[in-house]
Amino acid sequence: MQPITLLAAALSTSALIALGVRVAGLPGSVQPSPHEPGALLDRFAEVRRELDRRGARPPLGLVTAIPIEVAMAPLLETYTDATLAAVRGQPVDAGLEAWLIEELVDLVQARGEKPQSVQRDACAVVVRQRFIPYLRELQMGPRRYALAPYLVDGEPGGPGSLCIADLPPGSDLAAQAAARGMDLLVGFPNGTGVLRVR
Amino acid sequence: MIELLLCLAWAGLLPAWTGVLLLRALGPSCRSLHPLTRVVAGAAFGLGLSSLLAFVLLHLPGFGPGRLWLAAPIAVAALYLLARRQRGQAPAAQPSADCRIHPGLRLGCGLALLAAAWVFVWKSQLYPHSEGDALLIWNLRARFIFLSGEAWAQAFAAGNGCAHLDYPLFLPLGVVQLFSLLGAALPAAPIVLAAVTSTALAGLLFAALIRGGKGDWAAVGLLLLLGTAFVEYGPTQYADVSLSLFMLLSLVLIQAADERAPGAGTRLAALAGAAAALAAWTKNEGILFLLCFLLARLRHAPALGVPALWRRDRWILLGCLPVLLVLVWFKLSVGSAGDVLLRMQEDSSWNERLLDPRRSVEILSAAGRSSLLHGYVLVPGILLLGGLVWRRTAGAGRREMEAMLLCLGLCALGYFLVYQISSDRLDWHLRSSMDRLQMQLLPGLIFACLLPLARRAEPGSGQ
Repeated sequence: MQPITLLAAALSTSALIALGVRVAGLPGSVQPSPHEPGALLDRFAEVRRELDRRGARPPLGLVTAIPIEVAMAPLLETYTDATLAAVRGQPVDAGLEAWLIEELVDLVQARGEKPQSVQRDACAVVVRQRFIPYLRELQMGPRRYALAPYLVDGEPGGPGSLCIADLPPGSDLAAQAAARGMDLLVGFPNGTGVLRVR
Repeated sequence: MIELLLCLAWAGLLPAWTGVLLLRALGPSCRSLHPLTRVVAGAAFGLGLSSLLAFVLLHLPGFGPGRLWLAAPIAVAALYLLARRQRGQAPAAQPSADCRIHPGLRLGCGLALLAAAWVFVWKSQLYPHSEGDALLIWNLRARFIFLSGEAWAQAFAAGNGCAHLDYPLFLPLGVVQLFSLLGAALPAAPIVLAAVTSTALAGLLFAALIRGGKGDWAAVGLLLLLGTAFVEYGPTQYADVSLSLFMLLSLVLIQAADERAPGAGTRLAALAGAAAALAAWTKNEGILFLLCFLLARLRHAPALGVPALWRRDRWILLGCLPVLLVLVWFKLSVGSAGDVLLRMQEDSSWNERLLDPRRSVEILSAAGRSSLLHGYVLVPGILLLGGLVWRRTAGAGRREMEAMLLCLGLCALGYFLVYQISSDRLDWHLRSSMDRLQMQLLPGLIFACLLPLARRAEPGSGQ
């Protein structure tokens, strides 16, 4: 047998073994996705432990105050009644915060700053980059979530709240919100929404 | 299940039909490809064409994202009419569809394909909505375009939540077509598209190495591909598999053009150019690949002379042109300047980073670590095999192999330089992309190394 043939045979066998090892490494049954509540709760605990270990002070107070599940639940494709519950302000899954915290900590550390020093900006960045399309999806989904009262009725939810409004096109709510001292305004694709982060 | 079948028809059957009609319309040289190559290349071209057409349709009045499911049937109808005009032409010599494979290799390939299918199903169940960049960039963009309706262009407005506004649209518009077919943004759409592109990539590598009715080296190539982390990238729904498909397709087609008599492979060369441009329509790395692909053609200049090279390779440029026009249209209209370029403009210290040897060491060691972690430990073996093959190959076969390896090597060098000057945190940049960049180049590397061996089975090769 020629060296090339021998080498090719050895490589093919190695490839088959490597694939076998890869398949054998898969658990026998599909585990909950990291996007599933149970796994996220575990991950949340891990993140907290890691932050404690580093001695970092994450913006937990800020994040906890934000009913972030409103945006996160659809982001994670949990099209369930839990989403509706979250929209109504009921707690859904604290574990969903973990992902956000991780993002925040990454962002903050990327800037070479301590987590607590840029809480607000970091949060704004995360919200802008991750949530808006899903908020839009909330509006257009089969269950049209009427979020406007949170803001239109002047109920911002307290300091550190995330407020979401579902507005008709052409609404001047953006101007109204700015007049109320909004920290951040982000338009939805057709200009029908306002998002506030304090 | 109905959703899956519908998606499969739109993402698999219609594109394959479109592509086969395209190859038929382009004449005898394209019809002389191996039947399996025709089907797989056809599917890739079909997906690319319908994605380009979808972008054009988005701009037409009355065609919102909700009607993009029409793109694939329109492409089929147009190419059917075009192909009918070619009916009068003399039929091409049809290559045999035979593919004899050593029983041991056949068994190995069967097991490997079963295992790969299992990994795909398993991972798709685990992450039906994909993960990482596939979730937050590619599928997010698709959702945003689909859900925004007539206001789809707002998906590219700064501050509206989508990052990387300059990323091309092959994958998002492929997913949007399926969303519009299903009437909802269901996870089945990107899963099926990922399945089709992964299968097409593996199928193309296999088909391109079948020579003289023998498929032993094709089976070896398939095993080498499936033995790496490639099997896990398909179900992640990243764009890298699609990019790798077009990269390989351009190499396969240009090689097919080169091995035909002068003047007989012009349409294949044009198709190779179109495939390289479709790589650019898939990911920004594809733009780098396209440049490397064209640069590597200069390898033939000493043997052919510049005038002959121009006469032959102008067809590649011609093939690139329609796709590049759409890409430029996208970049100038709704897309934006590349993230890397923008950050470099803001950060003038990139030249210091370029000459920083510590960064080079970090990049190279990350490449080594990534190889160990992601199954690319086979790569040194493949390179060794390539070296042995190169020593024993002479003439045109050797030049072809060198041109392909030069193209891939230039690409790897380009990736290295981007890491070197990137203003992102290097450890994050390496951690988040090195493995995928390696995967992009792997199928082409396997093809380049095994092709001279496969060609020995051809009649008249003297082996």
